[in-house]
Amino acid sequence: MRQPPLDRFVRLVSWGSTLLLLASVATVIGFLLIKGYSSLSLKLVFGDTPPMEALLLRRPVFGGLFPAMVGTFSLVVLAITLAVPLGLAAGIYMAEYGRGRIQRALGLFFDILAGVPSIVVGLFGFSVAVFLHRHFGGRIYPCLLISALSLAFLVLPYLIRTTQNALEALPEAVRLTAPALGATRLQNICFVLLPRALPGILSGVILAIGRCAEDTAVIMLTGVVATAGLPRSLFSSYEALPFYIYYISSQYRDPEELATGYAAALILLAICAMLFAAAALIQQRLGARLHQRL
Amino acid sequence: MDRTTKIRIEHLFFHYGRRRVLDDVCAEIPANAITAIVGPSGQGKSTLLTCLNRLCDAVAGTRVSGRVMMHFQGQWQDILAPDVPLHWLRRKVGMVFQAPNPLPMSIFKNVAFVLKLTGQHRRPDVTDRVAQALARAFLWDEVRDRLHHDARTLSGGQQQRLCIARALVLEPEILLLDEPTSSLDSQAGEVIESLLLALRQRCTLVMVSHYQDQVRRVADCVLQMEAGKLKLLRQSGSV
Repeated sequence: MRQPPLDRFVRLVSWGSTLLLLASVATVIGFLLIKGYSSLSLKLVFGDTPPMEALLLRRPVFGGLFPAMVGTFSLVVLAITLAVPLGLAAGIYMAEYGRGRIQRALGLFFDILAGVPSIVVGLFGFSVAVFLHRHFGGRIYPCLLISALSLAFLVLPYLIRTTQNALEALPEAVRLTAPALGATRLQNICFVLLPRALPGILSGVILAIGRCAEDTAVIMLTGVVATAGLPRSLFSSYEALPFYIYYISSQYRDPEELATGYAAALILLAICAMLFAAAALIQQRLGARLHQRL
Repeated sequence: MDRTTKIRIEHLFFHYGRRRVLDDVCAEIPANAITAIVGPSGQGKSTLLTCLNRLCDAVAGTRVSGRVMMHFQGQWQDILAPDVPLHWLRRKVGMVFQAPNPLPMSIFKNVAFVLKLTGQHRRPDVTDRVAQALARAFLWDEVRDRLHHDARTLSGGQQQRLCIARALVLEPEILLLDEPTSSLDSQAGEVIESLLLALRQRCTLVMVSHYQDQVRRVADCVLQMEAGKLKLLRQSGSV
C-alpha cells in the first residue's frame, strides 16, 4: 500500500533524525574509545598501588583515578539522595495539591531555577561556604557536602517538573478509580498514582544523575581539588572525574597525559551507565513493592 | 419525606466552567430499586451520577449548588455539605464506571485493596469478604481457581463484574453505575443485568443507560435527562 507523499516524507525525516542522533552518540563514544582506550589500564585507575589493597581502602592511591572515581560516585549518590525526596514531594504538591495562582507562580519559579546556569549555582554554593566558614569558627571549607547540596539544588527543578508531568499525564480514569472506592487523597497518591507515574519519574532521576555526574562549574567553586585522595568525610575536599578531565585538557604536557583525559571520560560514562542501571532497578523493585503492599 | 426514598435531589445546579450542565434538577430516588437515568449523550447524565458521590469534586473548574439528601442510618444528610468526609461518602455510595477499570494487580488484590484502604488487614477476614463480594458479583465460580492472576487477563464482562465486586465489598447502601454494559457484548451484558436485579435487595441502584430494552427489563423507575433538566418518565407500581 502506498502512503501519501507527505506521510512518507515525515516518516523519512523522523527516521533520518533518529539515525543522526544515534550516529552522534556512536561518534562521541567511538571517538572516546579510540582516543582513550589505549590508556585505560589498572595503572591509570590505581597508580602503583595494588588494586585489591586500594579497593579495600588499605592503602592510598597516588597518581591514579581511583580517588576521583570514588569522589564522583559519592558526590552523585549524595546529591541525588538529597534531591529526590524534595523533588518528589514538590512534584506531588504541584500535580495534586497546588491550585490556581500560587501553583502557576511556583511553576514559573521552578522553570527559572531550571534555567539558572550552573556557574551561578556554583557561586551560590561558594557564598554559602564562605558564610559558613565565617560563622562557624573557620572550621567549614568548601567540601563534598556543600558541592552535593549545590548540585541537588541544580537538579531539583528537573525532578519537580518530571514528577509533576508524570502525575498529570495519568488519564482521568486511573485518577478516579481509587477515590471512587473510598480512597483518601493520600491513599490515591501512594497506592495508585505514584506507582503508575514511576517510569516517568525515573526519566527525571536519570537526567538528574547525568547532570550531577558531568557538572564541573558547580564543583569547581564548592570543593573539588586536583589532588585530595579519597574523600575522608562529608566536610573534606575531594577529587572528581569531570574536574580531572577539565584539568588535563587545559594543562596537559604531552599526548599521553591528554589520552588519560579521554580514558577518564570513558570511566565517567561507565559510572553514569552504572548509576542509570541502579536507578532503573530501584524503580522496578519499588513499583513491585508498592503493588505488593496493597 | 417518604420513608422509601433513599436519595432526594433538591434544586441541583452544576457548572463546568461557564457552562451549565445541570439545571435545577429535582428528583426522588426510591430505596432498594433500580433507577435508570436515560437521555441523549452529553446531557449531563454522568455528571449527575458524579454529584451523588461527589467525584465531581476531583475535577477542577466545577461548581455545584443545591442539596442532595441521602438517607443513612435513619437520618437525612446533605452530602453536598462541605463537612462531609469524601472517603466516608464514597464508601457508602459505590461507583462502577462505563469501561471496566481494574487496577494492575491480581483479581484478589483488586478487591482486597478496597478493604486495605479502610485499614482492614486481618488476613482471614479479608479473604472471606473478598470471596463474598466476588460471589455477590456472580464472579466467584469463574475465578476461584485463579484469584492470584492479573485482573487484566479477565474478559471484559468479567472485569466489569470484578469492578462491581470491588464496589460491593464495603457493602455500600447506594451503587452508581455509569452505562455498565455499554463496553460489553450482549451476553456479558445479560449477566450484569441479572446481577443488578439480584443486588436490588440490599442496595439502591442508580444507573445511566443508553439501551431502551435494558431499561425496560431492569428499571423500576426511569428518569429522563434532557438539556440539564430531569423529569420522571416512569415508575413501576411496586415502589
